[in-house]
Amino acid sequence: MTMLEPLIGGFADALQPMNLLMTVTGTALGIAVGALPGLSSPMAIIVLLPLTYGMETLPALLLLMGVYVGTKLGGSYSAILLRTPGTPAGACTALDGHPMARRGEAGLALGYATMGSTLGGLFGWLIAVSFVPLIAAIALRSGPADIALIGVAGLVMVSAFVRGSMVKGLIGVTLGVLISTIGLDPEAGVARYTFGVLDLMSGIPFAAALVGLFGLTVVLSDLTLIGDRSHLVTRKVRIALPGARDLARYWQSIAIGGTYGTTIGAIPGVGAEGATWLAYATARRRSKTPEKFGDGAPEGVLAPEATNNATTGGTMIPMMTLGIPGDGSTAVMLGALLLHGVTPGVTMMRDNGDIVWGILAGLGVATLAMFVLGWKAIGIFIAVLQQDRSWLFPFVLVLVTIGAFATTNTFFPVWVAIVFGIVGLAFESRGFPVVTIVLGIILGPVIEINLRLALSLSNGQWSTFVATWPRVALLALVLLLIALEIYRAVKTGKVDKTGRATETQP
Amino acid sequence: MANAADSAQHLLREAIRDVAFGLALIGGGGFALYWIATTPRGFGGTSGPVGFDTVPIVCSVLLMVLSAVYLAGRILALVAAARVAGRWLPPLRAPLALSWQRLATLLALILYVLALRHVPFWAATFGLLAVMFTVYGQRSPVAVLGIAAAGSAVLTALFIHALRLPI
Repeated sequence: MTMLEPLIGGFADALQPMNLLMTVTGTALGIAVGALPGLSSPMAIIVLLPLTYGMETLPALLLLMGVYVGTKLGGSYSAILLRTPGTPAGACTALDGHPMARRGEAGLALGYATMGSTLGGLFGWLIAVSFVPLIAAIALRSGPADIALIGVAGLVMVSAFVRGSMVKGLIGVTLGVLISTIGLDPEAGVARYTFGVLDLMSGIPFAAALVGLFGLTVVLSDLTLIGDRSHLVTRKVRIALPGARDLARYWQSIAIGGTYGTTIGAIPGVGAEGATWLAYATARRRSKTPEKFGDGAPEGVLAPEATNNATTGGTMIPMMTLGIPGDGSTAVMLGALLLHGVTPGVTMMRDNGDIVWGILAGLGVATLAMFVLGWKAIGIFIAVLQQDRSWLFPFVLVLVTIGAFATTNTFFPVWVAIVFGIVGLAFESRGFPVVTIVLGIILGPVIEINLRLALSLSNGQWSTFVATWPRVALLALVLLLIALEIYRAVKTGKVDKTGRATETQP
Repeated sequence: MANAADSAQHLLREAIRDVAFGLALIGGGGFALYWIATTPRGFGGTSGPVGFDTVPIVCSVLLMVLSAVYLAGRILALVAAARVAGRWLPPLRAPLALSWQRLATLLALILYVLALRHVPFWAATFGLLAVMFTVYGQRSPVAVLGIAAAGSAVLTALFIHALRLPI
């Protein structure tokens, strides 16, 4: 009852005409963007950010939420039809989706992808609405020491699970935290790394950094995709939704996908990419016909797609309760929340409960909108696959400029965005995920402020960080993840000496 | 055989870039450490063991240590790649077209931002769009100018007139 009332209130907000319009528009844009290889969800959200400055908080967030949900499905279209996933998480769908398309079952593969995405998304949504209030209530009782440790654990988890090695992840988050210290120190009043630039006194404009890292970096690194237009796709593909009997036959794949997606999505920074592969492998292991996987098995489409969309619910849990983003898209949404005057963190549910419930209800609405759009308007989205990015990228450049400018209505953030775009390109080209830098920038101030507060409250006693069992558990988790990485590195080193591996990844 | 040689050269080129990147990271960490260590303390005090420089110092040192670990791995990879390639320096063969497009993108963006201070938004945006369409390979003048004009008009209507952005 206590959960239902605010949820109903959330739906009442989310279903207001303007809010509904924003959700559906965002979802449609998300599917279109997701269908285009190279254009990511964070990038789509970041270029839409300036459009939301004039809006109220909830419709603005619902527009971005729609994009987030829509890109998940859109990514499967290019994976199935072109074997080129629109998003990294869509790569797994190509394994069975594309063989289905090649043997003339493109419509059915798209139908399975749509159903898998919808059911996985609804599963994730259900978990999110169930757990967000519970975890938020627990989080509210946390002290500064707990929050500082959660922040550190979040950064280590991000580093441990992002693509590439943990060292690369740790370098990214460390740099992010270092960047977050730029500006006037709030306690001592000392200017840190401002180099005499007055605009840097208030720190790096966070939204501008996001615009650079997720917008400009993507354009600069994806210039290779220009002219990569496929003529394999026609508008004639008609979607064929699987029947209830088919879904009942493959329920296990959907359940595996939903569970993996929600659980792994809730781990900060991991996102959907790793979860889809894990779900695919599990679904194949548990299938009665594992030999059909890779050859066009419907379960091979359902499992990763259910996982992919279930992560939308999973990522909401740390974002809404702790202010820790689950992936790049939610990092940008956190930035949007800040720009709209909502402070993410443990107090968000208490202080802005209506916004939280509106967003959660909007997630459910966006998932249903995604199903209807994917079912009825698929022809439009497939036509998007035919478009050449040379027409699109220049518009992204203009929107990047506007997005950065609009944060303070000055040109300083635009220069910041350009610098971050170049830094992001350098990191991406060496295999360092830029999302780690973003999470470092977000969590850096949280850790520093709460570290100081915790030590101040304990009269400078560092033992406060092991004073309770949850704190000990968090520290143990951090140490365990680091120990596992060292073990893995040593093991890989031994394999290298035998000559099997060719490239050393520290 | 040619493919194997190309692959070896590619690995060598990437390993060299990785090593250079690792060195740059260590340099960045060192610079951050030097800068914060030499920052005057000012008049404000700190009320505990965590001063204004604690987090920056910890992060700078951590960045240098982690970068050194990364660099060590990449140097090993470089040695392995050099053995396979039979040389330490690959022939200079950068993907010129791509580098040119990236440089042109950055240059055009910088000029666009500078132009926005002096030229109306619609004119600067029209110019950027037309130039970038051409840089990215569009060759039809009608399409380039038409889409640049239409795009500029829509963006101006949306951001300048509807959202009243003072750009």
